[in-house]
Amino acid sequence: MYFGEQIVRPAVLVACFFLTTVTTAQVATPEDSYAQQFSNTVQMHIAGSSDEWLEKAAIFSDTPNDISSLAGVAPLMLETWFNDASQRFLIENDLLAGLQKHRFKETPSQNQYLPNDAKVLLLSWWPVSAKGATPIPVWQAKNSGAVERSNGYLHWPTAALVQTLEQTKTETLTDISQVAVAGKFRPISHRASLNSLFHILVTESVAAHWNEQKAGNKLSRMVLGRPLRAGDFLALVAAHGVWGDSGNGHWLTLWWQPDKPAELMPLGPSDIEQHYAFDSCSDSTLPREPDGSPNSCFNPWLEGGLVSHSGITPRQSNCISCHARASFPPQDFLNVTQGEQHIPPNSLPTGMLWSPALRARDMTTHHDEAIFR
Amino acid sequence: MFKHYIDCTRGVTYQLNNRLIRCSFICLWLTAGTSQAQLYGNAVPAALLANTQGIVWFGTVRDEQGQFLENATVQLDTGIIEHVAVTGIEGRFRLVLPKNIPFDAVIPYCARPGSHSAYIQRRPPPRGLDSPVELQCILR
Repeated sequence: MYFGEQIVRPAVLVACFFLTTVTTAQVATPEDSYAQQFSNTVQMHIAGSSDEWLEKAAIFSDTPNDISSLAGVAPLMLETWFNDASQRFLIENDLLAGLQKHRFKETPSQNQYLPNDAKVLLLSWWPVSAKGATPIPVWQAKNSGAVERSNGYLHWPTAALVQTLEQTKTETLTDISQVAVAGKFRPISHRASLNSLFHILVTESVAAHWNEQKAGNKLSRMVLGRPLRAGDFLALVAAHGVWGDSGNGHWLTLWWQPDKPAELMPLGPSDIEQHYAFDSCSDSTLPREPDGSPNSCFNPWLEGGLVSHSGITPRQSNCISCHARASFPPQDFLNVTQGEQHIPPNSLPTGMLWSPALRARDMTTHHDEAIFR
Repeated sequence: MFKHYIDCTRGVTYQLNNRLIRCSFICLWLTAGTSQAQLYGNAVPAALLANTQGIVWFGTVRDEQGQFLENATVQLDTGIIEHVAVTGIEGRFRLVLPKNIPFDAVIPYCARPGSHSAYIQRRPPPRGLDSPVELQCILR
């Protein structure tokens, strides 16, 4: 008996060690795989090689101008991109123009989920000046727990000062301790190179495109003190992605975080990916958080500003919990939810995408209703 | 130096010896029956001008020399959420806050890239009214 244990125990230990080493060294976890896919897709868009993808404005061509961006809300420069399969899904399920006629019909179920090969990407840009340093507000996890108020970027206490490589050669800004950004003077918590962000050069046509959009125009004037112009840059501060996969799909998010705390996972191993925090989920509830609450998966740029009506902070929100309610007519779009949620009765599911539902609403309701929501 | 601006769609503003005097309340009385939002709106679309629900905050952002500043950002923090506007070419802004936000619960901020500090003064609504509120920001 004793002799047997002497042989078996080391053998088991060696086997376990071997298995652990092999699996951790050679087999990427699903999370790593999704992060890499997400990063690759974002970089493909940065490089301008996403030919088969279409931006929302090209798909929903007659969408009314988003005047709610003027109504005192904090603007973001957002793009939503749909790949081939997601475009087909929208067309085949009559989600581009036919939503209104389903308003009072029973809920069909065929368009509740995205097809497996569908991918949708939402990119959030920040204008960066070609000359002079540009401030970017920095989210701090420790200040994100307030239930009673929004914690969007207007509320973040500090800012990073971002310079292009050329600027860092000629300008030293160490004597500046605070900077005006988006209406407030904020202490400078970080100094960063533009190369720590995914970014694109602004051309004449890109500048014209964003300056025509009210949100883009407003954000540029808030940050740069002028409209965007050729030679400036757009830096990626946040992105959401959904991969159809199966059922609820896989939801991915990233944001630029110059001082990433240990609990946040980096997007990937490269220098630039290390400056982005990454999170993902494929379930609204599991795996549960350490305190037993449902799984959280959020983005401070895109959800931080939401005001909770339910006692749940945006930090506790979950992509799937929110998007499971995506339907027409859209109900309580901006409420913060966690855990399992369902489509309201007598609503038409929109493949867990809010875009078709909100667009159909904007086509059918008077704008004033949207302004103060 | 006397400047006199008249714009039928935007209201009436007088500036005398760099001392800004608003006569918008007189205009409101004179034009009773019209939407009060139309008096103060600057580059605001018709859909917004038509909206009379809520408390109107309006005003200007200037530098210390009294020059009106375009592209300055005005933030109104209600304690729940920030409302933000950017000044137009005449240095003016206009925001409409929800009706249930008391005048003194709002913390205003003003800033502009390149500016270093701000002096902010607000004028409460006329007695008995909860709107409009005037805000003047001076940046240096």
